[in-house]
Amino acid sequence: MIKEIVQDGHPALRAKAKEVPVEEIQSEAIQELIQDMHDSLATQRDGVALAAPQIGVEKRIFVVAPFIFKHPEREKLVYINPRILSKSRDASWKHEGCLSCRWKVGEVKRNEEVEIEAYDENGEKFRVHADGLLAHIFQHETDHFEGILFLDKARNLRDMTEEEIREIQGE
Amino acid sequence: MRGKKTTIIEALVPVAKVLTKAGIDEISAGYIRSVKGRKDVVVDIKVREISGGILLSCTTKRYHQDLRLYTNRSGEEVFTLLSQSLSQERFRVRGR
Repeated sequence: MIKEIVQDGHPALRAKAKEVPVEEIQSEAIQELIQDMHDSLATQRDGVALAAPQIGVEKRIFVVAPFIFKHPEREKLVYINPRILSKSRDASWKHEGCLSCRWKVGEVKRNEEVEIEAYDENGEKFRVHADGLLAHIFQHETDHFEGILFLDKARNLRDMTEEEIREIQGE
Repeated sequence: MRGKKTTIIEALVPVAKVLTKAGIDEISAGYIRSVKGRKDVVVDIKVREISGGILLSCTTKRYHQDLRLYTNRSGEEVFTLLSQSLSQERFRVRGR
């Protein structure tokens, strides 16, 4: 079911999200939540990932849009209780936006590479070493679980122009 | 998070063509980072084996982009293929 993506000001975006007990991962409620997150993310033309707090649920789950991968069937799309194990020393300011902070953009300093450990939708623990966009996503989404929005870290923050918004909306 | 999938930058299109011709068509283009102050016009390509494939770290005059190749070929084979097929005036291929 498609859920509303809550916007800055909603209490769930500022709360510390709770871990999902591993034995509950395969429960109907969690599986339904994961499906809702996929459905809701798919409605956003410019969405590459979505954390549970963004649909008002204070749980440590995020999903990644399959279209960012060439072979999504080989990739992990669901991250439950993710934990960043290590980050590369090199970092750079990256262009960033958030589905819960419409329509703002800015630059946030993010590490180039990240190693993450999480559970998938089947309750299996896995590790992923990511760089590029995926490393960027991991850092942005794990911030959501601590109640941190990109606005808190961004420089050169600005409102998007009408033209940029129209382009995203496909008009 | 908002964002979009990245595509291969123009300077690396010949690299993708060489790889595709050789049957390596599972190429994933990484995030594009801008490079400042690089005067060298030759594209640097570092070939490195990673789990499940090969990573090409490419630096052009203005951008840096990683290409991931999902293939069973070794880094040595990809290195040889690129070294022999790409113009040495435009590309500098290195192993690691």
